Amino acid sequence: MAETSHPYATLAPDAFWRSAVAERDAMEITGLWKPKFPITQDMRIVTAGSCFAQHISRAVQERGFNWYNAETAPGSAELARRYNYGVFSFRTGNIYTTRMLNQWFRWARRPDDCPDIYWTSDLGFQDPFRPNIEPDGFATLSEARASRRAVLAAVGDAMRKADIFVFTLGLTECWRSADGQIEFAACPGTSAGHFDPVEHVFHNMGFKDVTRELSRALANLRAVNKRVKILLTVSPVPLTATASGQHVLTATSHSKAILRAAAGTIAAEHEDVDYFPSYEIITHPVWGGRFYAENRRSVLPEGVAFVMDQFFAAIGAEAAAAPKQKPRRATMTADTDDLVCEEEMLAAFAPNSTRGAS
Amino acid sequence: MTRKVILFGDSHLAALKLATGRIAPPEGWEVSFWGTAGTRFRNISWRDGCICPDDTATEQAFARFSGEGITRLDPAEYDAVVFVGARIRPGAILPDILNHVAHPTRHLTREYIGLVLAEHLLRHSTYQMAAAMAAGGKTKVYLNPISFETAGKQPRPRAYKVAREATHDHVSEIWRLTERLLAEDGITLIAQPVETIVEGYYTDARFGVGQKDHVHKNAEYGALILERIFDALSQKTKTAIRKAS
Repeated sequence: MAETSHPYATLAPDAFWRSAVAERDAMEITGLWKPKFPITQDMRIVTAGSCFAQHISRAVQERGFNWYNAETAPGSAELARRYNYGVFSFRTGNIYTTRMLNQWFRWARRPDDCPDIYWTSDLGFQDPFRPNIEPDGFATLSEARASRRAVLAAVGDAMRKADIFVFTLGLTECWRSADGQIEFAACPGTSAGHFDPVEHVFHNMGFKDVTRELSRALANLRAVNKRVKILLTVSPVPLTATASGQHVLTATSHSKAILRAAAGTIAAEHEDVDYFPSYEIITHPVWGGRFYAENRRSVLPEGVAFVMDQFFAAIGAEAAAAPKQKPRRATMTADTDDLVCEEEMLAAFAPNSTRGAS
Repeated sequence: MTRKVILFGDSHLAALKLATGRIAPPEGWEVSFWGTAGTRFRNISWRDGCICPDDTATEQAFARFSGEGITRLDPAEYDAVVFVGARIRPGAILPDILNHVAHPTRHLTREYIGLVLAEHLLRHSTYQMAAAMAAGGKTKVYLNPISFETAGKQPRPRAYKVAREATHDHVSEIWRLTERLLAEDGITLIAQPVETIVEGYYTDARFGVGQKDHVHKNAEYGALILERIFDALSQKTKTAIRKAS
């Protein structure tokens, strides 16, 4: 009998659907991620991105990893969190798009390029690039400006000091100034500001847009930090609303497909960029949607825990450190609804809003 | 008419007591003390509009210090009550605030600093008692919190490197915010004089006591605080006279 000689003959079991997936209980599927580079507890981890990235910030802290907070604040953890300190490594709030990430990185390197624009409302002054960062707005313009300078300094500090930079890609849909020079954190007029159909323009980033902006962001990062490794993830949380004219479900598939492809492509092109499949773990039909809440959008604590278990198992940190504070699952259960998510504000503007479930 | 003020507090009252011979109270004011060591503060509570010891041992501990047989602090019996020390220690939170405020690239909004200060104050049962007393409207309430630790005597390594560069202006700004917060609760702040503060968040060693005591202050410091208390009482008297006329 002739020897088997084709490339598939020697592949590991996880290369085959039957052995890796079909013949296993979904909750026992392992080995979904093979890290390109080691991630150890002493490495400085910087996190940024969409809502889902907040889970990563918390999980690495609770496992005793060296999560870097470049913008600390005094006071209790509860108070600090209410004012968006300690949510990400700097106080930008959610960074949903790769363009927004690049914008922050660019301005952190060249603060004078950051436009001196602020919105006013009954709440005082708001920062268009992180509109809900100060829950009651800034009392004065000088405070808003000082806070902007502080966050740019913190972003710059985190860029320089990061050993691992974790970024969760969230959206392709965004709102920009009419000249396309500035991207806002959210659609003006939703969570803050006033919408002006002439000044504010909808843009849905395509694959080339996303990869170009991500490449530029990483170039800005590497310009100040040659040793940094990058870990990309894609948020499994569907869009709250779409301005694309499509159904929100198909718009979600479109956006997430682009983000997933862009993250995978950039990771494949660079040795120091990796992709962690939190998106697949939550969204894949293999898990039958079990990780989503009743609104079929919010990710349940057990989903987050399953994702993070996969993450820590892959980097060999399963038993490396006991949680520093409370048991992880309990913490996440209690705090899931507290995730800071400007995007949620959109739901308040939806006709017949039923956002209570999220 | 004689007006009565009582200075109520923990061991930080000692510096003021030692200074009573140095500074005369405003004309027409009679000063008394009621206090004991801080550990006994766990056993006092706000009951029936008064501060009361919870047990006999605590009652006796307070009686020993005041020497005047006061068994509880009824605000109705005084024109002014000054909480001195009373376990309220700005030094527990200010270095961290100053570490941000004095930092060249960090920024905290005044609102946020105010919330941090409020959160810190409200953790203290004695602050809640002071606020309840002020809300009762039977007396005027003042608060002189615990002074910063004495420079050069810290048993622990120093933290908050940036805060050590904080200026008197930085501290004054925090005192102004604290003053505003206290005013919302009807309490008047008698803050540590900034001229007694060195190295950002320490008290000048000339106001210290003993070689190993980094907490308590001497009569010279007590006199500075008494002076401010008496000034505040004088202001109160003037205001009362103006209202009467």
